[in-house]
Amino acid sequence: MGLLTVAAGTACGLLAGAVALSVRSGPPPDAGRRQAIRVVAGVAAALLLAAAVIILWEQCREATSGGEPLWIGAFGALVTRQFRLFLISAVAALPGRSNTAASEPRKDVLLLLPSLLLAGAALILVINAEPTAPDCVPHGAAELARPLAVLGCSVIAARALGASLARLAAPGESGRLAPAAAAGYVALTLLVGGTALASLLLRGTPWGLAADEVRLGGAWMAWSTAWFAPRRPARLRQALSASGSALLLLAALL
Amino acid sequence: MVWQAGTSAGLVAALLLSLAVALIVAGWLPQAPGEGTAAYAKWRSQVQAQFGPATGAMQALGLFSVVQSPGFRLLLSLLAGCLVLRLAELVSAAWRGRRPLQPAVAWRPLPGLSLEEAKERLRAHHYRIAGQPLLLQADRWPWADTWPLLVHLGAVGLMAGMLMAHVFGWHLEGLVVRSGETLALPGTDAWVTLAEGTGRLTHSDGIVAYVEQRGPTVLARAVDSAGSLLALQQSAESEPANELVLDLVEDQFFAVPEAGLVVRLVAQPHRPEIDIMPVVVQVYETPSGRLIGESQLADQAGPTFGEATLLFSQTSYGLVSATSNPGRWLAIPGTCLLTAGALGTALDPRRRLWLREVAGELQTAGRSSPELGEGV
Repeated sequence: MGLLTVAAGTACGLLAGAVALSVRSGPPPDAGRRQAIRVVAGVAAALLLAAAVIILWEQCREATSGGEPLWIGAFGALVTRQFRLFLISAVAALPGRSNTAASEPRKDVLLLLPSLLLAGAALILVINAEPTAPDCVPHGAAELARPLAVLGCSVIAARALGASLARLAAPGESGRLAPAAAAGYVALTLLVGGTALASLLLRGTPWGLAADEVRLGGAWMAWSTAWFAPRRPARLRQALSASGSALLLLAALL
Repeated sequence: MVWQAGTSAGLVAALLLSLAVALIVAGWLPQAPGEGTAAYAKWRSQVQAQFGPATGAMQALGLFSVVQSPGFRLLLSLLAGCLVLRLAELVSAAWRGRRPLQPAVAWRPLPGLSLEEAKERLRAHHYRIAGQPLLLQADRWPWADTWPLLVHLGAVGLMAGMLMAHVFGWHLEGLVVRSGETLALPGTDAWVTLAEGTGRLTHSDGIVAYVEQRGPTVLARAVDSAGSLLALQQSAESEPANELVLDLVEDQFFAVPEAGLVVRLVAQPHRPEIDIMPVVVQVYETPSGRLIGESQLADQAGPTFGEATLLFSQTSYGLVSATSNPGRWLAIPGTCLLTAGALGTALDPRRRLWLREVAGELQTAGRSSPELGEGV
């Protein structure tokens, strides 16, 4: 746990530093400072990814030492909240092609904010020594599919949240949603639609009213409003997209 | 005006958002199972412990039965009505879109391109161009107009299927079916059978049945040193019996009053590829409550405590849900269309722009078009 705390704490510190650098940036854009922000965020992402790998390795080692197959360890990691938080915040922190205008470097703050919040939550869980052992036993390797799908959607949703917040803060932005928002919505639609279809075929109802299915359905509905909302005012669509992606993250992590 | 209000995107967005908030509340607060069931009593004690004095107020507000509440159903009904009106509007607009409409937004110049060049570029990007050179309207065709239609058609189909299920169908959960037994479903003519050995579930026609969970069923007996059966009781109020059949959906207890023993049976987690469903047997003496024995359950002879020997045999049960849903074959294509339409709307949104040539200069109106070299 010591290694995890160090990795998570350092990553949070680096992300906070990147956010502080972004806040201090202003027009005209300082290319050197922006490059420094990207490097710092990249290092933080690497540390968060390392923390996720540590948890995965520990779960797999525990499984194999108990004579269980490796996928039991992978399942154990997938249902562990810290693992999901570390992985999602790592991908959210990865420096990518920013779709914000070069003259608005402060929007990097909003791009990094979701990652900082998620990494901070993971650090708190690690410090409070929340148990990492899963409280459910998988019945087959196929049960990995759903937690993996939810994790994949959450990862994209974290990027979408940052991108939507950045567009929300941009004056004069068009109502067009960020590519990450479209990708996140597509992933969530596939997940929710696929689950509903499978439930209809196997159980005869669109959903079994399991709590996580209901939350994901609610997040999908909230995100769908972004596509129905009129393009003007532009901020409304971006706000709805940010809400939908935030709700998906909450549904997947809580 | 009423038609415009009823078909507005803003109204659909507001209804969707309200339903989303309701579903999210339902997902986070423990929802009440059917009243009068054992699960309801267990749920009630859990929420009392979790929310304390606020439980009554929260229940009065309907926070524990969101999906069954009249407000939620009203929102669903309004959404359904809105979607039907919008579907009619979309079909009509798709037909009207064959004739160009005057843009309601300002024209802007498009330098460096002629009208013919612009038309060629747009056609190469799957735009349909309608109108005369004085006013041309370009739409992504045909799929960009089709996706919203699929969304609305699919949503209406899905909601119609759900309505049929609610009015003409039924749904039962938490049915315990023992291996090799047939269970008649209460309040219906239907039945389900769990085959011994294979564990395969069969059922009467017209329903869908699914095994949600499998677990061990234990047949328990106790004998004294002379081999006579001892009476067993599951509770102080229950009649004594020579043997008990216990489905380990949760921990089960029974007493052997003549031997002064209380026995607890606990099902352990297991995986399907392992045939044995492990069960732990814990034996307590009464009245002290001291644990005097703990072991894995084994068939045939069990542990002996004083004059009493506990005998167990094990089989299995399935926790089954059964549904009669006459609207299923409307809901399935509805779900497919809704999913496909939502994917298409996100990946291939509708785009419309207009072109005209004024004094030799090409002008455009509507969304900015990267296809014609405009920035995003």
